[in-house]
Amino acid sequence: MTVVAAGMAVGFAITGNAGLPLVCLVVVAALALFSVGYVAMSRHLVNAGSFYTYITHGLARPWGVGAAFIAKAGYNAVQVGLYGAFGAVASAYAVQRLHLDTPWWTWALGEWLVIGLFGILRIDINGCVLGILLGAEIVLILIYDTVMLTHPYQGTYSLGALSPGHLATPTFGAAAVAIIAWFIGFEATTVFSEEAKDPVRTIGRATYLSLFLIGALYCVTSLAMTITAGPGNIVDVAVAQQTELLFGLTSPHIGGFFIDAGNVLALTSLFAAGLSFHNTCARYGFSMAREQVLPVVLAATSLRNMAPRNSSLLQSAIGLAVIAIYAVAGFDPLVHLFFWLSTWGALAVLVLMFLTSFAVLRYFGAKGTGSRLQEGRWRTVTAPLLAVAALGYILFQTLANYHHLLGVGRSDPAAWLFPVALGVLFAAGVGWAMWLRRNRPEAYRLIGRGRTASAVASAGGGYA
Amino acid sequence: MHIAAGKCIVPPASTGTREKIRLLLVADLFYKIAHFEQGHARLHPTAQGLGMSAALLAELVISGHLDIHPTTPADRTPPALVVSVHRRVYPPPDLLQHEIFDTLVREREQRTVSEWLRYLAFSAEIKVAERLVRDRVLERSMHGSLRRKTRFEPLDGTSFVGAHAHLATSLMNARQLSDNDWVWAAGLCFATGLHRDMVEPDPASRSQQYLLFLLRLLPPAGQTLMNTTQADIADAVLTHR
Repeated sequence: MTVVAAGMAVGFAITGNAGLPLVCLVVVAALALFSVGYVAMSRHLVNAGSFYTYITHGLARPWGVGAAFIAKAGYNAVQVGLYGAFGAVASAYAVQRLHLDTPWWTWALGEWLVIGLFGILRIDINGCVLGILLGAEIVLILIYDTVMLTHPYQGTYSLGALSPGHLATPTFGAAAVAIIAWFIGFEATTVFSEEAKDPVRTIGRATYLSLFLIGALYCVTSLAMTITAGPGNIVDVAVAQQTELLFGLTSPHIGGFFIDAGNVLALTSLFAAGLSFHNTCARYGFSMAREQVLPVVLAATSLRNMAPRNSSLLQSAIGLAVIAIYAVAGFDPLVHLFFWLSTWGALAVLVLMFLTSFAVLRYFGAKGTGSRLQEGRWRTVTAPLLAVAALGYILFQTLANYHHLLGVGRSDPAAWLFPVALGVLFAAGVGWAMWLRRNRPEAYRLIGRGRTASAVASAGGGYA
Repeated sequence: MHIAAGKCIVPPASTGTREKIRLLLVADLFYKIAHFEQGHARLHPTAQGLGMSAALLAELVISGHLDIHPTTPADRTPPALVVSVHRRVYPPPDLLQHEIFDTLVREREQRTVSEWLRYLAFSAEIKVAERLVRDRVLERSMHGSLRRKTRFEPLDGTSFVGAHAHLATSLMNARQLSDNDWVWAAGLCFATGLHRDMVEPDPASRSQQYLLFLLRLLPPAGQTLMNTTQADIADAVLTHR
């Protein structure tokens, strides 16, 4: 619901590309190609920070640390951006239903407080509750889709959103990255490869199934939006209605109960996504700290509940600082906080996937024909090569037209500031790895070793 | 000494009779250190379970019935650590040690330390608590709405506080520990993170350096056991088990 209610609306509005359903299909295909090598790699390397570990083992440690810096910053950005979406949606809903005019940041701060507490107390939303909420969201989205598909614009169906011309527009890269942001999290399946009873089959199935099911839902919903609003009008309607787009398109044909339910589920979904990303960021920080890539103090956990306490507190501090800056500066929470930061996070994930595909090629190349025969040429050579080409093209298009992703002019400083920031982070990571190699070789050797990065072995102090 | 399974060659590593051998019940000591005087655990149940199962394996390492060594199967990174069980003329003298030893011997497949730790963690704490009940250190009480939940309470809470305080003071003052089982207990505290209550936070501090010194006194199998326990607990943090 986070994606359907907030991501799609802002995606149409900012990128100005009405062909999101078609671009979504292209992105799913590119991610599927990427997943082939990625899943094959997960059978050989088990670690929570998958991108970072794979790049470390496939390319080199400095590349891995550069990737780790990008990953940490990217996931942080997505998590912090979600505060903006929650604040905007909650504030709009409060005005509508409660006639309560409150600034977005009060809601964002409320969410920040609860997430921060949940993070250090290691409280997660119960899997059963999450399952019920997810099921309700899917059912509701399918109802919305049915309503939209049965009420086409001016009574005629137009599949203009699927016109191949949308792929040739300068906004293609921006649209693709906006859509990659919708899929962030699908790569997390490999983290559980050690937990799975049959990791060879289960992880692959889970990855592909989540990708294709989510992809189908997003494609159909975004297409339904263009059908009911009209492919030529969808961008203007999205600009006008923003997060109310989905509800605005369906409310004339459906009871108020479904709109209220959609709003509530959008909020619960945004909260769940915020909490989930908060925990992911905290654990990523913990994982990097236990390998001494980040200061070991971030690997400290709570004795009573085993939460990665310091890493969680750092994430909360970053969130508070960003909310405060945006509130004081008066920036738009939906565009400047949610969309800009989440798409920057998606750009980071795109770069990581691109590097990981290279890493898969090199890893299996270096391991020799034995591993290649075991996994097959498709998984170790062909699919990663195609993924490099597809992701490389999307990356090139995005970087060349990044201003479309922000909805600003080409000469606006923000248009180059965001991509350059990623480059600086990567360079900082590489530089840090080189410093470790020279000054702390024992810590350098731990990079990418995951669970074997033991403090006893390295005499680097305890953290458990 | 490594002895192939099934060959009964070596008597226990003592010149005296069984009665004269002082049993190193590291798990009992760690249980006392890891619980408050009212019997509540100081650690999260996952860390507690893994720590107690490591303590039980440590007892078998100390008694010479178990060895832990690295192996490098071609398709595994990092190297797996396997447990090899040493059959001896004399079984482990303690009932619980014997039970754990039997469990290890019965398993036909080669298992990693991590697998054993996670398997034993399900029941390790209760088994150790029951041993302490037999030794009249703990008493069992029932509580809950239908009195179906078991709680173990110390008969003498001061011995629990004393164990924790003794180790903490020894570490803080870098004081020599009286017995080998305290060194093992210090290792278990390090592996489970419990040491953070006992030493200064600075890794370069004297207490932390002394703790690392103690860890290096452990035999390679002991160090491996502590490393693996620590890694398993860290993995539990990551996977939110």
